[in-house]
Parts: sequence; C-alpha cells; structure tokens
Amino acid sequence: MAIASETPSSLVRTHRAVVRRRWTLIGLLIATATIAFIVSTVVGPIDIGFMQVIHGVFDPSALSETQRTVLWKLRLPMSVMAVLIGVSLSAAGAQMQTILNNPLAEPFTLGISAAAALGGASAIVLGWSFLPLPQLNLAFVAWVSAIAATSLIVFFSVLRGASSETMILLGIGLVFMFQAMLALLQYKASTEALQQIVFWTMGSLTRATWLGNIVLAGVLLIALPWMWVLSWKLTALRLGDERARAMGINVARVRITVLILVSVLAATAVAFAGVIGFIGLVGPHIARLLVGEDQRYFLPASMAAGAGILCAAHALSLVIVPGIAIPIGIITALVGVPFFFLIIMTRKRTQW
Amino acid sequence: MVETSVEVNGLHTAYGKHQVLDNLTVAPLTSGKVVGLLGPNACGKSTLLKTIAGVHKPQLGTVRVTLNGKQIAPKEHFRHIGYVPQDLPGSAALTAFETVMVSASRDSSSHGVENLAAEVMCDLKISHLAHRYLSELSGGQRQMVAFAQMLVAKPAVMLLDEPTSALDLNKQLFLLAQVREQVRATGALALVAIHDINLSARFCDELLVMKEGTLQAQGSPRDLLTPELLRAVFEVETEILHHGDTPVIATVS
Repeated sequence: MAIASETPSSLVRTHRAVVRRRWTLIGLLIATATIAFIVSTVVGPIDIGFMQVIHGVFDPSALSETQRTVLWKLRLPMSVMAVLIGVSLSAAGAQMQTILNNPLAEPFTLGISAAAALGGASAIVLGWSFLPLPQLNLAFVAWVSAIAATSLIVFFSVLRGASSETMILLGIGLVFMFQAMLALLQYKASTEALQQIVFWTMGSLTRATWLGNIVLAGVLLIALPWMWVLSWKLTALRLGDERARAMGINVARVRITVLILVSVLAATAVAFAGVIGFIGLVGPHIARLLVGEDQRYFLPASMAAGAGILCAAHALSLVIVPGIAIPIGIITALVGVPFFFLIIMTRKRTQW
Repeated sequence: MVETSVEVNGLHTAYGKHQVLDNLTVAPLTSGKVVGLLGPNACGKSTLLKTIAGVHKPQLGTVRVTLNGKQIAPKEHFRHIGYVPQDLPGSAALTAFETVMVSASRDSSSHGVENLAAEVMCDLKISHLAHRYLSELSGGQRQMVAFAQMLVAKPAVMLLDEPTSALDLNKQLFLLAQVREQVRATGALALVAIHDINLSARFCDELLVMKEGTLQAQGSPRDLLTPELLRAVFEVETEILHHGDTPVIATVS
C-alpha cells in the first residue's frame, strides 16, 4: 500500500492531465458530430457535391434554383434539426439520469412522449384547432400536453417530497394511463386518422422547418446555461441526497428545476419531430464512459454525442432506401441498439 | 484556532408512530474534543447527526451551533459543519479527486481547491486512488474518500456516522487518529457515531450514550464505561480491563 510517494503538486499535475484528456475527448466528439452533420447535409437523392454544399451555405446564389431549394428548404432544416434535437434529447437524458439517480432514465421516462402522443392524437381525432397551420397546431397541442403531464409530476413531487423513487413511480403510472387513453382514441379513430397518428408519433425529421429550428434553438439557449449554472449541485447530487443536503443544497428544488428544464427540452423535441427514442439514453452513456459524471464534462460530452448520433442516423435514414427518408426514430433504435450492446460488452469499468 | 460549540435541546423526531428522538438534550459539546456517540442500532444516533447537520428537521427542539462566540444561523450551518453519512458515495463515475473537490469547490477558485484536495489526499495516504472512479473502489477506500471530502471543506464541526465501518484495523486507527489530530490542531469539534467501544474509549475525550432516542449518559470514557451501563444499554455482560489510562472492554459470557 506504500504508493503514497505522490506529492500534492504531482497529484494536481496528474489531475490536470485527466482534465485535458477529457476536453480532448469532448473535442473529438464535437468533431465527429460536425462531420456527421456535413455528411447528412450532403447525401440525398439530388446530387449536390460536398464543395457545392459548403459554397451554397455561404453564398446561396452559387447554386441552381433546384439545388438552392433542396439545400435551404429540405436538407439544411432537417440536418440542423438533427443537431438541435440530438443536443436537446441527450442533454435532457443526461440530467434525467442525474436527478432520478437511474441509468435507465431518459427524457421520456416520466411520460413526456406518451403525453405528447396523446395530445397529438387528440388533436387529430377530435379536430382541436388552436393555430392556423395544421402542423404547427399539432406541435402546439403535443407540447402543451407534455408540459401538463410534467406539471402533474411536479405538483405531486412537491406534495410528497421530491425523491427520485417518487418521481419514477409517478411517471411510470402516467405513462400507462396516457398509453391507455391513446389506445382508446386509436380504437375509436377512423382509418385515416389512425394512419395520421401513427406517422405523427413516429419520430421523423421530415417535418423540419426553420421556424421549428428557431424554437428549438431558443429553448436550448435558455435550458443549457441554466443547467450549466446548476452543474456543481448536480455533480454533488451524484454523491447522494444526504451528502448534497449537508453541503447546503436544496435537493428538492434542484430536482424540480431540472425536471422542468428537461421536460421543456423533450417536449419541444417531440412536438417538432415526434418520438425519437434512444438518443436520450445512449448519448449520456457514451459521455459517461468517456469523461465520467462531473457535470463540467458530462453535459457538453452528452450534447456532442447526441448531436453526432442523430446526425449519423439522419444520414443513414436518407441513404438506406434511395429516395425515401425512413423515419429516423426507427433508425436510431435499429442501429443504435447493437452499437449500445457493443459499448456495454466492451467497457471495462463497473459503473452503475 | 476556532472556538466552537454545539448545544442540543429537547429534540423530538418521530417517523410515523415510531419515536426516534425523544426529548433529547445534550450538555454543550465544546471545541477541541472528539466526542463518541454510542448506542444500540436504531437508537437515534444517525438521526441526531443528521439533525445537527441540518439534513433532517426535528419536529421539536433546537440545535445551537456557535463559532467564536457567535451563534450560526441554521441556514448557514452547512458552511461550518462537515457531515459524512453512513452510506458511501456509491456508483458515481466521479474520480476520487473530483469527489473530494466537490465539497470545497463552492466558495473557492478551482486552483486553490485542486491544491487543497491534493494535500488532503496525500495526508490521508489515498493519493494512489485519486484518478480512479468511485465505482472502482472498495467500500473501505470509498470511506476514506468520503472522509477526505469532508476534511477538505475545513469544517469547524465534524459529524461522522460510523466512519470506520468498512475499514481494516490499521485504517480504523489511522482515521480516528486523523480526526483527533485535526480537532487538536484546529480547535474543531468532532462527533463520531461508532459501534466499537474500545476504539471510542481510546480516541474519544467524551462519550454520549444513547438508548431509544434518549441520552443515557454523558462523560469521559473512564467514568462512563462500566459493566452496569453497558448491561443497561446493550444487554451484554462485560468486564473492564485497563491498558494504561485507557479502559478496554472485554465481553464475557
């Protein structure tokens, strides 16, 4: 045991080397995500070369009209949305796992997606219309439903004390209830409405618009700095509620604040792109394996991992069947799960 | 040197019908002392520590903490009280170094915290664990890390809930010696819940003996540890031997 030859200053040096390695890994994740973003913008049925895409981004007039329309109205809205939703869902998943103290948690654990699907389906079947544009109306109803579900959990958590177990149990209960209500709606729905519901709930980027991207970016601009401010408290929370409380942290308040931020991120993502599963689970797991759970590294690494995976899945969804964009929610799970298994089987450390 | 004291007055805590602390009053605990907290399982030791730490709110009663003659507002207790809970920091993918830094990083610049964390870890001879994840450490190693995490915040009052429960004999003695050294050097006060009566006799200046949520006795180990008290509290027959000044408790059938 006499390895105590290390001095404080050498210990600080090795710690700094660990920190440098973490930032290098985060840099690599960001680079990977950037490449995946570019690839997902370049691939597609209409041939626009790599250099043309780069050129067309900075100077749209350099492209033919068809190319310009394809790039600016179809490809860029989708690939930008892939980045924004990848970041949103992965950051949301990372914090959900942190506040629920559970590696199986993801942004939709507490019923956000079930509530959004129920809301969307209700709008389709019952013809609710609050906004003039049908797509925007659906997104709006789904968003409001998801936020209402979260409010329910927040309300009960405040009543019962915000322990992670209470939140998980409430959330699982809500998921079952919303699913049953959705099933009831589907049972009563016409074939046409049923088809619409199924397509709407299937995660897909084909509905991407610049308006959606602006809203997603706006939500991220509020949620991420807020999470960053809470990063010390969230790191402390990983050491247990009691330890965190003894450090003067209002554990319940942190949990509920973060739950609300996560819910807004996830609800916005679902509203614009339906249920894209798996990103919010696997993004944080990749981040955790690479940089650990100190929030200063965990949060940015999760964001970069999520963006990278979703961009890659988006590119893949465009090329598997030429000319058809397969709903990305299918790809993320189909390709992601084997990859996830590979990570789990090859990891050395015994986390969770 | 700091001057600190802790006074506990009339604490009541019940979980449902189960009374955990029953009008618990403790004579003032003062600076520079290691105070041992003895008692059977579920007698309220942990609840008392949590209440002093501010982690748990009592239904009745007060905890008064003073620092250099001034009373500390309950909301500020956490700045001066270090608490090591019974459960160990478990599955987190945080390195031991990051864990130790967490409790110090709130008020200081990151640079100062790094140096402080490194010094404490070297003092406690756990520098070789610094860059391993908590999930890779043994229970005893995590217990040392938890202790380091508390020390790094330089608390005036240290609350330790069975800090030696997962440690080998050598580390048990080492950790308690560190507690005593810290208390003597800084004027801090340590309250240590512990099951090993012989260790408490050796390292503690004062003992609190609890049973069923009440205080049974308070005093120095030499005065307090008698076969009568141990029979009344633990229902065990003992014989008190002596090793120098220190009482040694032998159980007899």
